[in-house]
Amino acid sequence: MSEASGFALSSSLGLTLVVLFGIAWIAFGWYLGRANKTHEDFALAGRNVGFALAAATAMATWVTSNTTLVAPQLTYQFGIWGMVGYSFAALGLILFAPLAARIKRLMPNGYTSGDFIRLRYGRTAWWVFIIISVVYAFGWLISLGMAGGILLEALSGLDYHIGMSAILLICVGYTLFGGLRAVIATDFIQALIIIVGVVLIAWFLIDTVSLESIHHEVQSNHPQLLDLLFPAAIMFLFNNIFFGLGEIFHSNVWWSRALAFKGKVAFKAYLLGGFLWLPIPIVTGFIALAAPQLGIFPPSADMVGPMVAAEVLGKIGAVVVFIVVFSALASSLDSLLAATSDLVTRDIYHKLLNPQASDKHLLRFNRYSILGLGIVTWLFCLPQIATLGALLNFAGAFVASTIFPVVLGLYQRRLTGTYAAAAMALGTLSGLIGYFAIGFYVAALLSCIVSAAICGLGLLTSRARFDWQQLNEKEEPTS
Amino acid sequence: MIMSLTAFSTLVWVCLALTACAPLILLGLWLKDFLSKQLW
Amino acid sequence: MPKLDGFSIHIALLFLITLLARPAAAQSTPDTEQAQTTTEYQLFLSTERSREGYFVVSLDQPPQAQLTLQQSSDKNFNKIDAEFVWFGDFTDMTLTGFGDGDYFFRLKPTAVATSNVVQLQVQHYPSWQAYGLFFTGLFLFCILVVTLIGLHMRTRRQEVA
Repeated sequence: MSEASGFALSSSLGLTLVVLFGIAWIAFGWYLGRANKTHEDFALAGRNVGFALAAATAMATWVTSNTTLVAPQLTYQFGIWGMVGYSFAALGLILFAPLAARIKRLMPNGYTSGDFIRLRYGRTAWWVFIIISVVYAFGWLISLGMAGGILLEALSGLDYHIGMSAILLICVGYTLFGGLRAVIATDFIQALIIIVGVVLIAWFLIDTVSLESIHHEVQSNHPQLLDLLFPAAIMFLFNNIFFGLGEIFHSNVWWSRALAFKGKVAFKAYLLGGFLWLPIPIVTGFIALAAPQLGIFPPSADMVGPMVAAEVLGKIGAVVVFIVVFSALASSLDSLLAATSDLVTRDIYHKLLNPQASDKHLLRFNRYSILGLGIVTWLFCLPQIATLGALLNFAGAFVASTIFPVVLGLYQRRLTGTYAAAAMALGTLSGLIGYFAIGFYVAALLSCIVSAAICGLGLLTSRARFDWQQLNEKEEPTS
Repeated sequence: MIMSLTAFSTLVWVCLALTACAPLILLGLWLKDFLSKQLW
Repeated sequence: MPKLDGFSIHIALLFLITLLARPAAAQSTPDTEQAQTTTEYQLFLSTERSREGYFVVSLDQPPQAQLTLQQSSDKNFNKIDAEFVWFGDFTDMTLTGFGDGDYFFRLKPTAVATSNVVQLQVQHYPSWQAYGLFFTGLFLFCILVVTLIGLHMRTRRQEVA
């Protein structure tokens, strides 16, 4: 805290940064959007995204503000395993690589993860899946919107409502103009900003307080943090991994990208994105271990990262933190807006309500749903419900139940819709029961175990032979 | 089992180096795609 | 990302309090009269038994002067094991990295501040529970990876053939 009082940035500087970012991103989105002629162009960037942009978007979307804020928090609480364990979330991207290649091959004309579940498992499973997807997507959207408002207010004293509305407006704006193309192109730039920012902070920290002194201080006064057999950390590890796997395997954010990437790019892009992401939580996390050395004992563990950054870098640190977290928020928010509006347009509107809709009509509806999602998110964010964060805690129970149904559905002909629906529903239910009866550290694990067991049973008892051709749905002639 | 200083510094330095390489890799790939008109 | 919980609250607290924080000294210097009276602070702990080795110590009011938290394994504080300087004018302080044992905390008694003594027990999760969940997770993870890679390779072979 280099400032004696007041905010790290003046309101005018905060507002200037937001306005500059806003104008730049929206203009860029508009520029890229000129190439969009059809709904396919808009929703899937013409299904022709090259390797560089594909790898960057996979990485940047997975860097949420959590990577920059929660990684230091977990390191402060659980030590070495906190940051190493967090970096294992990269496994989600890496293991999705073969799935992405398979998705692209099986569904060359597909649009969403909902498409896959509907064609592969039928309507019942689709309903369960859509509920899981919507709970997850809305939880994430709202928390990102709120985080944006809180970030601006905290850094520059701008009113929460102005900041929250600004980040939503900016992301809705460029997604509306540019579609997935804009989302992917901005992700590329945001990825570069995020990486350079975290490297800068880490570098200055090592330069100011050496790694030797950090290690020495922690070893003498907080030895548990360097303990490789820290019980709580070991216990939570796989629960977190399954949470991350569930998020990636089910969410249309990742499916729509797999479908948008050019030919054989999907596999390589997810693999590279995962490997690029892997070291980032360690770079953002280890700075928390410098806190005791600097005499920083934060009021709450999640504040430790920015507090250390601000202590080491002063006002420049605050600006760097602002830009990095803002980029991390935007790169996830835009992806989620685009992917969820695709799900609404394709799965609910086109396939359920209006199968005859023309391409032009769908393109227009997709834009409306981005706008609609933005408005609904904005309304939810308006009262700044603090307890929402706590509600999101059990999202792990929901998403982890989809892991096995998705994997087996892509490769195994025998698993039927009934078993897949049961696996997702009962998995979610057991995860929730585990969450309330035992603790949050079993929610995702239990959900995945139950779901896997039901899928296993389904494979053993079924004689069905699914015809893969059914996944390659031909488009109805449009009027 | 306490993590030694050597292991700790190696872990941090390796991760920092890998992270620092990432923008170079991404920009290199972008340039390659851009020159061969494979961006989109 | 795996931990969506408390997402918004996290960031709220984070920036709001971090960047608003003023050093306690900045507050106390102009008002020497206030600084000279002894303030009796009430200390609270977020939990009496920590399973993870971290916990939050809270004050009933913002610090009026520079405070130091003392830690001892003995309730009479005959031997001080560690001292932590209270950071900024926050009312909370998160401490971390504690091993199993009983700990006592108080504010270092000075002319301007005293406090009650609070007791904390740190008891990490038993190894059987930690390793039980770890190996269950590892087992399931191996099944997933083997299934995924096995199915992927088989499909590739079929496609080539």
